[in-house]
Amino acid sequence: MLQDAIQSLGFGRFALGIDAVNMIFVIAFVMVGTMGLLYTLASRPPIKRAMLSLVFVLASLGCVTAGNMLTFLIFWELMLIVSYLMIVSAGTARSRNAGFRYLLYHVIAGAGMLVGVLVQVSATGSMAFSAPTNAAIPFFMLGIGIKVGAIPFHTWVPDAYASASPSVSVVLSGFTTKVGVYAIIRLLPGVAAIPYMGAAMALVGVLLALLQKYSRRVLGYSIVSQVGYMVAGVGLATASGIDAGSLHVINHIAYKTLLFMAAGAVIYRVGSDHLPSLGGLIRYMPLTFICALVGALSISGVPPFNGFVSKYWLKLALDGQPVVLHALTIAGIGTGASFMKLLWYTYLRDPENRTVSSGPKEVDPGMAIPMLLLAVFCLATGLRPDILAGYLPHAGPAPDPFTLSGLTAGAWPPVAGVAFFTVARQLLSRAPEPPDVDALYRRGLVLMEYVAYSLARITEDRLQGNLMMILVVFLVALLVFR
Amino acid sequence: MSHLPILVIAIPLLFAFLIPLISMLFPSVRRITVTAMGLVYAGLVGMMIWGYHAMGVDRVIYPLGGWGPDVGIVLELDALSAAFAGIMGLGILLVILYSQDYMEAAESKYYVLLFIVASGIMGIILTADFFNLYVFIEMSAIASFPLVAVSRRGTALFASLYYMVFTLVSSALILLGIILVYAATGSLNMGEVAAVFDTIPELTRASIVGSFVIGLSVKVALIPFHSWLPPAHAEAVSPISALLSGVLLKNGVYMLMRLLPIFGFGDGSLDVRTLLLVIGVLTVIGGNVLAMGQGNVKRILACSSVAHMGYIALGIGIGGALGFAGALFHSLNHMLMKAGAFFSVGCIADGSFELSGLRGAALRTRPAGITFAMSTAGLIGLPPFGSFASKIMIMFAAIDAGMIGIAAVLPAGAVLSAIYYGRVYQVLYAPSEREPDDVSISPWQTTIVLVVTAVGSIATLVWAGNLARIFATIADYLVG
Repeated sequence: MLQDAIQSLGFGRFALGIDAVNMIFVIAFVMVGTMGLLYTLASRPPIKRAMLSLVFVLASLGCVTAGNMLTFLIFWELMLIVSYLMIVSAGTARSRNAGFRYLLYHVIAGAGMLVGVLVQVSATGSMAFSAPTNAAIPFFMLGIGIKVGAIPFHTWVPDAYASASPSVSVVLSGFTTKVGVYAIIRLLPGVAAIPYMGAAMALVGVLLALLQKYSRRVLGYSIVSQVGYMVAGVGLATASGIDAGSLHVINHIAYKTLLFMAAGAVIYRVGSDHLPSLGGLIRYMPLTFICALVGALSISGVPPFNGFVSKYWLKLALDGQPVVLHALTIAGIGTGASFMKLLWYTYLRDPENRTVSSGPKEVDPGMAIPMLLLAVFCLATGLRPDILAGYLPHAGPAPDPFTLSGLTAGAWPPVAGVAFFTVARQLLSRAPEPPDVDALYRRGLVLMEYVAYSLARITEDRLQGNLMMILVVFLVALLVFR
Repeated sequence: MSHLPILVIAIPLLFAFLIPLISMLFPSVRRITVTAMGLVYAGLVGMMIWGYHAMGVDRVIYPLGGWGPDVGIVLELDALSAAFAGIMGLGILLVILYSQDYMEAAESKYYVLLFIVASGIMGIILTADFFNLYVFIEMSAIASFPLVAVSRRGTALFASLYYMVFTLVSSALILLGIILVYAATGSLNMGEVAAVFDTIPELTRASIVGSFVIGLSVKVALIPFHSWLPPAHAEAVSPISALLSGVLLKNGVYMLMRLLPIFGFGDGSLDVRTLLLVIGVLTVIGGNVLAMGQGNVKRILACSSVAHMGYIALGIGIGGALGFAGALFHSLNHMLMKAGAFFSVGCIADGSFELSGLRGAALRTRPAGITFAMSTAGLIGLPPFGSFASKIMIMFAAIDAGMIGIAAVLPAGAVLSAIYYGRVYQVLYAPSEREPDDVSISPWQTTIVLVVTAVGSIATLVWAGNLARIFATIADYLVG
């Protein structure tokens, strides 16, 4: 009986394997991981940072191919350790602080997962993935919610990815949230609240993205928004929902990594990603601009780029969920506007800044090649969605997006977004960066540490009081615990 | 097997008295002699455990002088003793090896006291007799008081005194328990007491269990009896901090695990399980909160020891064999990690352990900078370190017993510890203005100790399957 309990915890039985569900994740991680690593190496980082990036990709692969929950948990926590090291490896005070906050968020996520998994094991008697019991759901919701960046736990995403050094944030940004999406498929199938969680992420994420002043913060908040699409899809737990969500995962990893690469290239050449002080880079870095443009078109879902296909399928899958559907459509408008803003400030508008007018060079070939390859990927899988469709979990009938209704459904939100940006540009440029909930958390943490400090001072070095405690507890034990 | 149980107690005592003689006559060979003595000690312990394993019996009884348990004093080696002998023997060996470089200028009495502690610990583990238990408790405790004060700083003297007062109160409570046991049963042999314990009047039984549990809680530094621990562990020199946190605290853990089954967990008189659960929750949360309020690395590590003793108390308090096994496993992991953390921090900082003066210090020390990060990540409870597995066992025991709230306390403690260790990393690993290539590398013997603790704390996860089975067998035999 006791040995059975130990057996069910599965210590020492590590299992990895590829099946229909994680196939598309493996493809995405291997492909984009390789591109990301090439880009990282081209930026000539310290060898330690390059190694960390490699280990991070491998840990993410381990996480999605884990054959039981224990292996999954171990890789889940390993990803946390490695990504913490990657963030702080930039060596600046800002990156250290962001890394610290990242550590806290994800240790809480890990704690939630750990309790959830053990509740699950206690109910089923094994570490195999299984449908969640009611007692486990809240713990999984906490753990996975933090991992995917659900509102109000989303603030680590822009915080970490905008503070890491550009060479690692390319690799870093692709995987963590997607592992959370994968965990929803495995551990939280059919929980009714999840599509709404996704809708909230899509809306809030894009709204905050629109108001950011640093390009990598725009990208960070837009990760929250895009992951919201995936969460809404896979949270449905229908075949079409999971397929569409999974397709959006691989598409998103591709174009978001591409966008981070372009933003990183600008940081390397110009030294900043502060949007108000950039401009006119289309003249100096046309190749980077083309790549960023492909990324922006893909993320906005403009036909025939890949984001268009997965968003179209998502909307078909969400047919019975009007609230979520409308939220995603509005988020699509916001995405169009925020990426128009990104392109406008970085590349299109007249330069007002001296750094830029001194004429930065085009990006190195070592960085350009992975960017171009990803751009080609975004276009190719948009034109031929059947390339990837066969690898999706259910690989069911894939509706053809290239119909008149499909094309209009895909094209109008981004067009509306661009129009909105053109009209509201002056207004947006004056809007301050909005405060986010993490300001509240930071206050809470400071307060907690203050309380801890006071408690420590109060209880220290009081011999009589502390000795008296022994007598008190002795008496209490004899009187109460009987 | 033969005489090994008495040898592991007697030989270190002999060593303790040989050391001053050797350092007086041949001062140049003291270092190599002490190292050899440490290895011999650990070797004897290892042979004893191996011999026990090879005999394949539940327990080995060693009657001293050939007198049986009815009249004489006996030593008894069972699976629990063997497990703790292994944990403590390894801990003592690491402390001795580490001290060679760190305490190079130490007087001989430092090693004399260390070997007396080593002897006393084995005595506690092996004795089957309440009175000798008391003798060995006092022996290891009294030898450890001056060890805390070995640096002769005023704060260390004060910490040592404070530690002494609490330890003596704890000893007094244990002695009270022993007196009551003897008065009620007329015997001091643990086996005989266990057989008749149920027949003792209820109030006496409650008093016996109460005085033992409270006395041992003071020894294990469970909140609210913890206040001696942070100063003692922080003010001692680093190898002694490792000894206190890694090894001596486990004394109390061992005695709780040994005595509670004898007392039947006080069933029908005092609800020890609930008491330990209440104190355990308080200790896990309180210990971590206190650690958050410290500005000194060693005090942080010391307060985190309090919290980890809370994990172990919870494992015992849950009551089943699985929780017991988890607590045993966690004792091993905590020894490796906490000793490793104290050893590393001793190399990272010299003199002052205030965080404010340690900016970038871990980047300038190898391999201590790396092993410190590994040990503390293990203390948070992250994989790939063994504490992840032992934490899972304790949590799973709690969930299986229907106490999800108790199970959630452990990861909550992990979150709190991530806060203060995260703050420590922020300072220790921040690049500073000093020359980056100003890196100091530890001497080879220290390096070996550091690497053994760090690799050991990973190895316990790699072998978690086997270790968990072994500990479960022991726990089953004790409380199953």
